Amino acid sequence: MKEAVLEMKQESRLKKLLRDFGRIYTHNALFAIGFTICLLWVLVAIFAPLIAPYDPIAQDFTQRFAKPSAAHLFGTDNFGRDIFSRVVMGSRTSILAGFTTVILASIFGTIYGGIAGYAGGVVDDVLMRIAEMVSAFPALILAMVITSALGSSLFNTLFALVIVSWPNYARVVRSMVLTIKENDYVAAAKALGTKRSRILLREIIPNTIGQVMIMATLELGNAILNFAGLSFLGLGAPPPAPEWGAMVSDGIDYFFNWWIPTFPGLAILTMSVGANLMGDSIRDLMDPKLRKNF
Amino acid sequence: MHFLKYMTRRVIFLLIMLLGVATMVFIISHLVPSDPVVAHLGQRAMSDPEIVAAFRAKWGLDQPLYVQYWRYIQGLLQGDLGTSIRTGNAVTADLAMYWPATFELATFSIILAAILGVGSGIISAVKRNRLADKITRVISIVGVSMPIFWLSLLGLYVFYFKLGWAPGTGRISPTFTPPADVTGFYVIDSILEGDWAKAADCFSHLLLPGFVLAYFTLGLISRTTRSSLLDVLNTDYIRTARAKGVGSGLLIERHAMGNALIPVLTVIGLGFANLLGGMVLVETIFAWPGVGQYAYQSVTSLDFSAIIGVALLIAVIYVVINLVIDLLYGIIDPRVRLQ
Amino acid sequence: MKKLLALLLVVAFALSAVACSSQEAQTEPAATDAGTTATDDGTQAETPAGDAAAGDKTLLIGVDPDYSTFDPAAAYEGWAAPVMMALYDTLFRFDAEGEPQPWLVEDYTVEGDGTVYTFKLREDVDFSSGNHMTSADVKFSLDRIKNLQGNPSFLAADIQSVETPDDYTVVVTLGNPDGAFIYKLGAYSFGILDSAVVMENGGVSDETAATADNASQWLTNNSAGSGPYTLASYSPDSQVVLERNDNYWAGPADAKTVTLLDIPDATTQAMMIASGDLDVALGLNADQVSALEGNADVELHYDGTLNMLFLLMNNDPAIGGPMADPKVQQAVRYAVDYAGIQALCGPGSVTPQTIIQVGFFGALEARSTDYTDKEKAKALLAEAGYPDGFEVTFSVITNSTEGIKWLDVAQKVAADLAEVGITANIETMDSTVGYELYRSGQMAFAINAWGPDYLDSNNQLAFLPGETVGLRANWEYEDNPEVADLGKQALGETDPTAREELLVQIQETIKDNSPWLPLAQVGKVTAVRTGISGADYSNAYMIDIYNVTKN
Repeated sequence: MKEAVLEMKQESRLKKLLRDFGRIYTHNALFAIGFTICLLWVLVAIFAPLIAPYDPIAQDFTQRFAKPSAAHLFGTDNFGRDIFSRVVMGSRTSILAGFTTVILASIFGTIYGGIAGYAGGVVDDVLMRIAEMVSAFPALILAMVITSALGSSLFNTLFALVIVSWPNYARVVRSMVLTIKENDYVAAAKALGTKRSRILLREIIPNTIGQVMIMATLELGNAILNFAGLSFLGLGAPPPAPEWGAMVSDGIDYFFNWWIPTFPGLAILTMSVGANLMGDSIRDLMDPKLRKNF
Repeated sequence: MHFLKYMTRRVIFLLIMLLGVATMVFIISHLVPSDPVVAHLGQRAMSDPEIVAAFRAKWGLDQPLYVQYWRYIQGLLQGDLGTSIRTGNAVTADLAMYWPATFELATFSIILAAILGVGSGIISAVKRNRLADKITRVISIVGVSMPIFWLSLLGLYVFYFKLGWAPGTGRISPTFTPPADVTGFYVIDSILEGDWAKAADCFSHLLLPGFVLAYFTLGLISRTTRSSLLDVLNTDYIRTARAKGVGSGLLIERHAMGNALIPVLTVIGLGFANLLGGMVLVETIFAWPGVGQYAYQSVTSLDFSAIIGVALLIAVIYVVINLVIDLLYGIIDPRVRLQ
Repeated sequence: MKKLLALLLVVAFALSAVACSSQEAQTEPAATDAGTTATDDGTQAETPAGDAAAGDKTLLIGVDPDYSTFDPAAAYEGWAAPVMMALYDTLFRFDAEGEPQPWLVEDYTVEGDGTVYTFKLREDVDFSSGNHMTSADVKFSLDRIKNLQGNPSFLAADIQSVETPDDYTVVVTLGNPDGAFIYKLGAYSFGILDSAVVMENGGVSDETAATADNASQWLTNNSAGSGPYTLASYSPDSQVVLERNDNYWAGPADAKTVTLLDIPDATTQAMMIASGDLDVALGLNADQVSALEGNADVELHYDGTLNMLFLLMNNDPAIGGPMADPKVQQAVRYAVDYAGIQALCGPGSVTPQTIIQVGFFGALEARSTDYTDKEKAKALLAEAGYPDGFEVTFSVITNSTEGIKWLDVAQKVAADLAEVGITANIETMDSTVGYELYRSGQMAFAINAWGPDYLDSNNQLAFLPGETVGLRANWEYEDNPEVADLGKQALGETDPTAREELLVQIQETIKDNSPWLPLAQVGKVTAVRTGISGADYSNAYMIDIYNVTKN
């Protein structure tokens, strides 16, 4: 009986969410722009093989450093590879890696920070000190250990990225929880004898989601970049498979052939800007206190 | 009394944590299946057992791991971080040499980022969904979305190479001799020497890398300020104040800002810590001789003592920043008890 | 902190060549560009501010250095060479053609079947401290490099004794004849120290030096030599400042102060020299100087180097798999597109046929780019039993040589091999991890680089079966005893004609039959402001600061 009620409640929440989405999309220009950019990139990633005119790893030494032209929209790199095709195909790895990292790190960080902040006392101290220890850890060493101990693969790279990025979420969430738990409605729930885990999950964590979303969207671009950086160390997508961040970092060596780092850089920039614009607005959407202001 | 107890506990935790960090880094860096020998000896020397043995003996690498660890911890308790294999100096001396450069740049950047970030965040929140808000948001979003090394080179290209507004790399022009070390901040030390031309030169060297780092961070601060302020502006007591006819400017200043500051402070603290990380690349591009470069070089040469030294330094900074932030929470929002 | 991760890693490439054991110990004379003389068109180079009177010239050199010590007996890094050669004099010095010429030595004789060298020293040499140089300083320096057990100690390992019959005579006795000994003495490691000053600061030269010597740290921040400059200051990761020795015995250098600025990023260096904030930029890559071409104030010099990129195809079937098959190794030789590799390695790069670089004594001429023949490669693969090719792991350390990323060259090789059916799956690794695998001979198929330790072909014989480098490909003595013996013979041969014959014989035997495939000797670009001359790239010293003059 109780479960049925819960289900109904959730369904209506989903409906409400969709309705809010429609409203925000039509009324909030920045959200619409951000959402459209992200959607376009996701579509590009899905249909990449159909869009890319060339094989992204095919080298053509007669075409090294070709400027952007009709034949090569974004020019070619130092191997004579078509940068447009590489950007299009690279969207798959980069977007997937970015989303995965951010989602896993934010979920873990939120729960961790929520528990620390809500429990308080010794638990809080111990948990946060552990988080600080992880933050203080030289990530390069960690990455190297993971490569050499586990071998290099996409999974291990994502694992390393999550490990080094969750403490940020944990800290922000914890600091918010410290404030939230002093609020009247939490006190009220406590007075009513609601279980602690329920208060945490129902009353406290939902109120942190706005901030977490902001962090997560902000982190998306970073995650894509971080992922690229790792491939240098032997983690991540092994070359020659195209991947945005690696293309930018490699391309920086050819800074004066501006098109080589610029186009993959713009891909990261637009994806990240899109996600950020959307994130800001989603926050508005999800925050019950702000909702009435639309 | 309560405060004293609180501080004592934090300090104890700090010490335990430092020990933990040292232990973790020690174990993990020794887990890497490679050997400092290959990083420090040449192709010929690394194949000569006699030279390898001499090298190991010199750096105590011939001892069992637990002996190395015990020796390290003993030294640590006496404030001795060991000797860097790469530089041959005491790690404490190395850190003392590299740290001021990083600290000066990071401090300058975080001040810039905090001023610009909080300022633009307030504008954004007050003018919510109006043009000023949208422009501010887009500018700050572009900042966090740019690869920082790209931004650095772009900045150097435009403001140094093309326009000639900013000086080249380093902390000071080669025509000046670095000021005597008092605070470690070149700008302040130059002023202490009374040499204003030198101070101006050092300050001009700070500008470009400082802005690059700040632009990267201010987006985070601006956006957090905006959302946090919006939260507070929609709480009941603010609406009550507004209903009572309190003006908008006064409202922000007197009532809203205090509460909104908590997440903002956290983000500024995180931002500062992140800056230290972001320094590595900026230091490379701007040839800034700081801890970032030192850390990188140490890691690539498996210089264990130096790696642990950097990790401990960063850990201390983290803890201090977090402690300061926690204390500020208590001041800003008395409801947050020190626990 | 999270950003530290990304950013550390992102920089990894830019810096990774240095600080690790790749040891591109540049020690060669080489093809210096003959056309690089001072332009005399009257254009005054835009000099950095502070360049006052003519006698007070300053020289600013941009580098991406790898040095961490300036102790001759401990330093081993390629970029230490220009600094060391400015601070110290050696018994012999390399000329523009790469031949060692007497420098602190007036005259010398070789006796005892090439094991006893008698050097007559110059009598007019003073150290910058004012002390007079005598044979005791030479003995101290030679003994110390041997006994310190540092990186360069192997250069002196065969020295049995150093005698000083009088103040200006030194007799060095070797254990075995060594046709390359004079070449070794030209290396900066044999810089002659002011023994009185070094001993005052903890220097020890006898057998206990490895543990008893405490002078290395002092020598990193001070100099005790007779060279044209003294070390004014060293700020790690920032700059090295050299101050002119006005009493230099061979005549004072042109610039009063020379500053080597650490600028790790090549693009930044390019901008700085274009803006006139550097006089010489040594850390550039050929592909990224396009912005400097056509700049009237900057001259670009393209030179070859003796730094060689090569492929390792492990000779042990248990490790190398198909790569251990000589037919497959030959197929790889046919499959690689040498013209494309050279395009990646910059103007001035050439492909040697064997492990002895073009430019060295007795080297064969360069491999023709026409050597590539994909059909022959496929045929050989079929013959070896792999008509449909095979898959192999291609180990690539994320390192670079003179700004050429190994990973870039590896991607080209992988693409070439794919055309004949070999799937080379690139596996990247950090240098500290990678070198351990390399050293222990565990890589099946890999790219690596080699910079000679001293400027003689003998140095390259380490690649032969059973030798230090040969064993990294598990190329054992038994695998080719004839060549291994020829190599030992060549090492001891002091007669140039006989030595050359042996070297040619070795190379003819292994050029199409060995686990090695030299890909290219990489090119090097040097940019100088107009008005600067004498800054040509030198294989021995990178740049010979003493010769640099500023108009």
